[in-house]
Amino acid sequence: MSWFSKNNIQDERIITMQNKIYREIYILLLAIVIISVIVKFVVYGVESANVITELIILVTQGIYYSARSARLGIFSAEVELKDQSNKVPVRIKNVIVGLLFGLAIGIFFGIRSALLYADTTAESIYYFFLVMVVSFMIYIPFFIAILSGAYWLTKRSSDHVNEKDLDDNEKW
Amino acid sequence: MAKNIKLKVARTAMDLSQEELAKKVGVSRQTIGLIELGKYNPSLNLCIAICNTLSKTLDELFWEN
Repeated sequence: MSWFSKNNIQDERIITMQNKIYREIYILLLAIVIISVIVKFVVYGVESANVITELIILVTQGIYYSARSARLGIFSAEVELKDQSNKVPVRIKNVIVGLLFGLAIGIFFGIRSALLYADTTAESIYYFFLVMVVSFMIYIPFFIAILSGAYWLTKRSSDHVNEKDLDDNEKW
Repeated sequence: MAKNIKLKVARTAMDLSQEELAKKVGVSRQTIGLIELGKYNPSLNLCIAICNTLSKTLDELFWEN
């Protein structure tokens, strides 16, 4: 029966070490998923349908971490620590990352359109700038809104948990 | 981190092996060994459990002068 009983390890050192291993496994799996996306793009071409499973894994783990860190109230603490040690606050960094994402995607779509649809050099330059500017107009605000909105919601939820915990502490 | 000689002395004074102390405080023998060698920094809860088992204070076992 002992084979099937739950292994209830209490040793804090073992738990810490196990958590360290789990963290390494997480990074390893994330690397494998990213490599899988790159390999599929190289072998089958840039087609999102081929990497839908990988995208679900990448997005789900990000959402799960954000939700859990907000529920536990550690997101606010993480932001506070990062803001203490960096000159650029996290909320500004989110805007910068959103901007860079938007720029990268706009340039990518511009190059793609110029290569796929243009027949002459003049046409390719025209398509490149046209698609790039339109992509900037769509994707820069989109990514800034998504990142800043997610940050704001997570931070607000985490702040709320922290305030509740501190209130309980004061009552005691 | 320096070796915790005081812990080793207190344990042997109570005639306890590393394994026996580990069993009493609910950790593995290796953890006690590593604490004595100064290679593992125990939590306050574990320090208190060790102190209670060896009838010592935190100062006596874990405070470095």
